[in-house]
Amino acid sequence: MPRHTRDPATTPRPTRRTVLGLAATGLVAAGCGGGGGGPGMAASWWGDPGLNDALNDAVGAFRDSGTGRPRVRSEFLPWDGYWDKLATRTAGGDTPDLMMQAATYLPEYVGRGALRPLDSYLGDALRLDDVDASARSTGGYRGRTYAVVAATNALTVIADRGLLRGVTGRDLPDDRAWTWDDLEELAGEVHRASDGETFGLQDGGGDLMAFQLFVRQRGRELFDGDDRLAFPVDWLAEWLALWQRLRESGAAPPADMTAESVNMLAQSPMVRGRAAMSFAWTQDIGSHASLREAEYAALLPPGPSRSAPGEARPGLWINAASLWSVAAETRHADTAVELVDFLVNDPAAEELLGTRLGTPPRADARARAREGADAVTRVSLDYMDLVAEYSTPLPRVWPLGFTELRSEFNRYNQDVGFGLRSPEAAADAYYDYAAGVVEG
Amino acid sequence: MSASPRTRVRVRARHRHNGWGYLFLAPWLVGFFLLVLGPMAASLALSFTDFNLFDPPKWIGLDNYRQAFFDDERFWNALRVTFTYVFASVPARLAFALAVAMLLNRGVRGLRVYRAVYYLPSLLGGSVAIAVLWRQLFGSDGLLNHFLSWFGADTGHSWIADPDTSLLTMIVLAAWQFGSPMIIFLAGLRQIPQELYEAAELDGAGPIARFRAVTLPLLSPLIFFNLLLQVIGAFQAFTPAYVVSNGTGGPSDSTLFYTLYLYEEGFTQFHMGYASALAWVLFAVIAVFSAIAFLSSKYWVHYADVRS
Repeated sequence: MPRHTRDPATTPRPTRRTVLGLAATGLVAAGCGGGGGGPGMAASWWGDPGLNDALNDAVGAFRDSGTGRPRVRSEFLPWDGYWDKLATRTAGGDTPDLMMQAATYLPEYVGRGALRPLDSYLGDALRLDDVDASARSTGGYRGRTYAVVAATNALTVIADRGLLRGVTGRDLPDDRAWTWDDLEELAGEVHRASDGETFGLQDGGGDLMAFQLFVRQRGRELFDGDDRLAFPVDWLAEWLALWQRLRESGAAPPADMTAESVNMLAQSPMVRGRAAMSFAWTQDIGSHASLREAEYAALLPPGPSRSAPGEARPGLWINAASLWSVAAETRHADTAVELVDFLVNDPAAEELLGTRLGTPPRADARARAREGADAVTRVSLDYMDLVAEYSTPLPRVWPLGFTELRSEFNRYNQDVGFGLRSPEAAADAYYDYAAGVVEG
Repeated sequence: MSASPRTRVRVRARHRHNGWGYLFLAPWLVGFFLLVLGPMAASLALSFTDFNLFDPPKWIGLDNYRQAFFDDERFWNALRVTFTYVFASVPARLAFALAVAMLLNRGVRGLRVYRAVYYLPSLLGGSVAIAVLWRQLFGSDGLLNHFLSWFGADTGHSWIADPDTSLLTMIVLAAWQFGSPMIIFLAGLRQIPQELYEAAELDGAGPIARFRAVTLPLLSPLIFFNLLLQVIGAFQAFTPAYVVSNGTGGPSDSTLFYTLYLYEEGFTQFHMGYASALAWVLFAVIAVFSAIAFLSSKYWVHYADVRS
């Protein structure tokens, strides 16, 4: 066909037919846009922009290190949004090929058949030989491996050393020997010595993980091997009463102050300089340091009081801060597994990621990380070494429904704090509810 | 068939005509069937199932409804919170709207500016920014406490984080967003013939009597319209509670609005079947209240063109 040169002035105006045609095409295109697919591999993780950049760089390094590797479309979200989105994507059959997982969510995703068992790759495409023995099993569920640990963390009591010293004149407590009684006394002293301006300890009564620590210190677990609750209900009542006592004496802030900062670290009493200690995860030390400058220390949580029932043992455990999983239905299974192996083992990935994900699960990587680490990172690395010594491995992963139990736990502590229920009544109600979720 | 070719052509032409009409309606029709009616039908079906988003739904009949009504404290609590909110915030908002509309209707200078200023909060209304602002106003370090401290009052109290006052702050937030009913009232007030007021005045009616005998009856169609709209909207309030309480409905479920509970059940706990049942219960509640409003309207709504 001969090519016409068009004079703009005489260019015919689009006909109705072309306009409608375009509109219809647009509709069809819009209809297709929502679905996943597309070329390359999808990866998603949670975290902050800094972590996202580092992970994207690591993925880039992975592509450069081999030939014919597909493009990786990555996506990152903050923790809460991440799980909402991952759930909807999974329900829609669009699970990302590679995804960050959490041990607490593993049962749910394995139960939904969303994750690929990795056992056949182990020792071959996926090497875990250098990974700490204590962290290697964290990706297992019902006898199979569905995830590989990316980083570890542990519960700790963060202390603002300067504040503690300034108010009480005392240095950090001896955390290898202290008990809940000592903690209660120290926290109360902070409140008294500051004329009520400062609280000793943030309210941790609504944290199911901290309660789990409390139970484990007495030689029990939250759940037995058959998903039944394995601790006496009076221990829960005792726990809720302990925190109520702390609130009433001023050792811990009043319930409304705590409620105001739920899910908002920047609003928390500790970040506002109004509390000296707080239960937290090791990676939270960095988050605190970025919000408020202070000399933070990571203390081992207090041990059981002398009068406590049960058989005393360290309640801590080395926890998987995050894990890598591969989607069950993926066209890129081999590449995704290779990428997991790269992220866990490759020196290039180690250099790019540093301790951004948390404590590296390999001793050699930790040693190298310590060399260039700033003071805050060193606090958590040192602490994790201590945890290796003072901990008891978890005998099992969480039961299905644990994430729900965890988010609900806070409300029962609040009910006690606001005087809506007695500790005993709240303990009974939660116990019944929890039994219904995991056993039902 | 004995129709002449001519008629047939005309009929076909008319059909083609309708075809174009439907084509232009298509965006709306597609949206309505795909995004409204379809999901509604699906949710009704899902409300009789146990569905966790991942495994295929399992038919359980009326169990979801049974659980909600007989075995779920939080369901009743959510209803209580929502009813309190609706019955406190809607009258407050309408009263504010009417009062401000009447003020503005007195021929103030710069009416357009005032109208825009008072409307502004409603534009921002459902937005996250306002809910965040609310935290700044009613938090323990908030403006309200600073204001109270000038009078020597205790200042540590967090209004949004105390179960006794948290819902109240949400009601104040709702009342403050009186812009859209205000605009409607203002338009309505301008429609009232001035002669009626003059006649009433001649009959010796004072301002209160004029308001009761002239303004209210003549405005009643708009009051009815606003009431209906606001009640339906208030039952579905979500954003303020979600943002102010950080998605928890806390503290201690004191701001657990019905839709927030529904969202939590569906999208956090993945009880999608149960959440669908909750949605249909809300639908029924709103339908009942709309019906009550319509049925009662003939006793108090006066339409200008209908003689009673």
